[in-house]
Amino acid sequence: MEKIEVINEVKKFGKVTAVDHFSFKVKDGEVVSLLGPSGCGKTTVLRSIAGLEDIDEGEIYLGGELVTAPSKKVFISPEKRRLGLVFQSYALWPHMTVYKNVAYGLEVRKFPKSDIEKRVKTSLELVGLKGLEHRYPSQLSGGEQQRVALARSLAYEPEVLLLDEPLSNLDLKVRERMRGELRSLLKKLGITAVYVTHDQEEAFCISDRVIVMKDGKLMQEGKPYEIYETPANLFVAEFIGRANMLKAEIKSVDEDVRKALIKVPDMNTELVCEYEVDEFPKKCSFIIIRHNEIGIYSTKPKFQENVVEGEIIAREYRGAITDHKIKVGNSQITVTTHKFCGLAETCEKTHVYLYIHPKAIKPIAST
Amino acid sequence: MRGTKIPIFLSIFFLVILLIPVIYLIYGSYFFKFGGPSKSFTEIVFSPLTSKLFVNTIIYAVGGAAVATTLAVIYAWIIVRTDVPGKKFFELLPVLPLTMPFVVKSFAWIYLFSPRIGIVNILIKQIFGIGPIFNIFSMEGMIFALGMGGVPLVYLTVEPAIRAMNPTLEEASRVSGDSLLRTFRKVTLPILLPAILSAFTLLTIIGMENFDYPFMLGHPVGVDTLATEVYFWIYESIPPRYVNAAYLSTIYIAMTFAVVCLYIYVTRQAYKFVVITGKAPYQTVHRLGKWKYVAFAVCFIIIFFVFLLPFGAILLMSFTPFLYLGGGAVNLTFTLDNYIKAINLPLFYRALTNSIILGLAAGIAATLIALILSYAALKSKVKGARLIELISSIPLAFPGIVYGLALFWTFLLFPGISKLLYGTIWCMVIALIFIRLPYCVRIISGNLIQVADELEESSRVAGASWRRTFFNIILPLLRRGLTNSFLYTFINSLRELGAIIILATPGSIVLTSLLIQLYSQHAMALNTIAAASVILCLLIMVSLSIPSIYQYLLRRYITKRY
Repeated sequence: MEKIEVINEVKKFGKVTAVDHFSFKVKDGEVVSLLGPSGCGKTTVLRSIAGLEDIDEGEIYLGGELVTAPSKKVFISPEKRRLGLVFQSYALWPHMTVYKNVAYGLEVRKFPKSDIEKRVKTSLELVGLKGLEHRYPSQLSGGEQQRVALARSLAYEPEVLLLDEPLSNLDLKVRERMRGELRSLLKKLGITAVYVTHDQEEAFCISDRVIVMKDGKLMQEGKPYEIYETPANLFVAEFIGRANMLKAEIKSVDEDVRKALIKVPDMNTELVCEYEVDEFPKKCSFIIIRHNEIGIYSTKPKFQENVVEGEIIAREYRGAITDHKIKVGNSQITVTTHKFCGLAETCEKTHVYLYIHPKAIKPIAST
Repeated sequence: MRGTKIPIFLSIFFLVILLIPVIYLIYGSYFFKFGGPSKSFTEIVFSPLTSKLFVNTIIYAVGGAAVATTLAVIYAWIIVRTDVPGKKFFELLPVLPLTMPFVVKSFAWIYLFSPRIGIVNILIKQIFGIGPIFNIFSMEGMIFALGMGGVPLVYLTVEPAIRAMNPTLEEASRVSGDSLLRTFRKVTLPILLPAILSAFTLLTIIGMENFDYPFMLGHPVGVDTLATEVYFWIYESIPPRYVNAAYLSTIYIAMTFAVVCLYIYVTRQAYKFVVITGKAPYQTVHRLGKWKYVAFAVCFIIIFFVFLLPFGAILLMSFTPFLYLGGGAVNLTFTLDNYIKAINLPLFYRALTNSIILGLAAGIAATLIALILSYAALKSKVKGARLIELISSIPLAFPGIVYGLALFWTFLLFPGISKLLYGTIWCMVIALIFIRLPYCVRIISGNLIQVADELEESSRVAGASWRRTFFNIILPLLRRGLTNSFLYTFINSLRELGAIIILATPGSIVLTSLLIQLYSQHAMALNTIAAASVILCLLIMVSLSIPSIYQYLLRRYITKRY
């Protein structure tokens, strides 16, 4: 059953169209991420689900109930939507203790006092904050504040939880730990959640399904690996992961062995591509090859297929990995190696051979 | 967020109510004629007397503002940015002069610098045989009084700006080889210019609208400003010529309105290029070496003239019998007689309670209205709502005496309203709400702007209605702004003279108007007036210190909060 349904949402701020005919659905118990660069409209979508933002066109359903529909003059105010929202800034009330913050939603709902106490205790335990009830938000660390915000929105057991970049204000280490905890917590509670983020790793770790947005439009939606492995367009390919992008055209397709021959003019070569999807596009204008899916050798490898020659023109040492900028024909390719790769110590102007695995080549049909 | 429109409607309602008398004054004066025979509008506008008043008003206001700004900037900079000795003492003092209403300070200056009875003049004459060296009853005297009276106000505006200024800006200049004085001129002043300019302009407006000093120090010797002339047509002309006063008010407002526009423009600019951020940077101070004694002397002289001298004079006056400085010997005997006399004045008790009720009522009402206006302007998310902020600064352009006249005019037009309000302190409450509203809105909206929208939104999402959110989240977070706004209005209601002098009747007498009445009845009873003045100052002092005491108790007995 669909818990959240957004149909053709349009939202304008003055002349700017923040959300442009955007639709998506979230099933009961599913965690969906809205992923995109800043200003892509993902937060606006989230806020319109919460009822904090009016929309210009479209309809929004929560649990099968129509909550926003400008054409029908329907607008249910946020307090009646029975959902939880975790803000990027946490939005903890500075004049209330942790206990008061978490209890607020329950007090508003007129829960009996003993029940409130029990539930506040349970939610604080759930996020691992036992014993901090009487502190004020300003006396907590960023990570702790984030947990309070989470506990506050979970205390009254909403059916839907909305999270607006909840981890982006935390240090890298805390962020990485929290995203794992958050995922297991959401799954344990079986709660339906929409998670807004601009961090692809976070989106991939936390959600069942990812929706990539740009300029208020849906670019691609799918499971995390689908987004990464088969980007639907140039934008997704560029935005997700790090990839080389090359102009290309398809010479021939052999559907029996699922192979295609692709001409890459800038490299002065033709590459064999093995595909796993059911249907290979008839035409393509670009191919992408991930930085870390290219082999690099100082001597010519024995196999002949998909080997190109090039020259290292620059290196960027990044600790765990090294980026090599390699000139191949008229194009510049980035190849990422780790320290156990034999060529990790190569210097500039070295002549190298690149092996591009046939499965690493992804055709992009449209821009 | 979709908000409610209630605050918008309420705001419009209050603004209209408060502005109606103004409309009656301006348009009404053309259609209805009250009082004695009047001149025509053009006769008033183009008379040489009016241009003389115009010039006087400007000289007085700009002169006083210039003196006050110069002194306050020097004082504030020395205290914040140098290692002057006695820093704590100097930091504490500039708030204290606010406890002395301008009327009370006028008595102090008269007591000190009147050519006839001023003790400074008399003493110097006796010792050196020259004098009177300074006549307070003159344009210079008025500028001096406004200059001294304005220092706290400028100080309170400029000091936070200096404190928020990044000290590395000055340090960079010192490191590149500039002297301290040159650094002050070339770096500090330009950075602080927006703050200084806005304080200066505001004080100019206050000076133009000021009634107290021109009335006390200039009017008796024929040095008049527009404010005293409006008073003259109403009170001293026989029969009263209200229409003349109204005509004069119209051009008076035109002048102040122009300066208020300038002020709004200047402060808007100030927000743009000001270096001030929320967090005060770590303050390092310039080491002055032996110059610090000079700095100490400068600060001491400033605070001496701004507060210690006038306050000391009033205190001395209140505890001594009439000082007769004849024959060289000054015989000081201390007595409580003046206080007993003051307390036993027939109208004293009524004036005292009226003053307190006036302060409480105006403080509460102005704060509530300002709260609604600020909320509507900043949080309602309705297009054009920010205009409310602009409209609510209109009263800045209204001299107290002119708004008093506007109310008076409305009463003349509507006997029904007049019966209800005239002669009660409630019409003064209305006047004070109007006059103080722009300040209250600034105080509260300054606080409200710090309350992030998300705090409200998270409450809504958690299931609280708009109203509940307002009371549970917004109000508690505005506690500081609301307290300040209330106190500000309360204290200024006790200090006000211009707005109430037209409206005060024996039944609705307040302390400031009582002082004026006493002074005009027996000018020699300065010592009784001084005693009553000290009581008024004490009242203000106590109310000023209430929040500090509250804060202290809170910190002492309740664990540290946010």
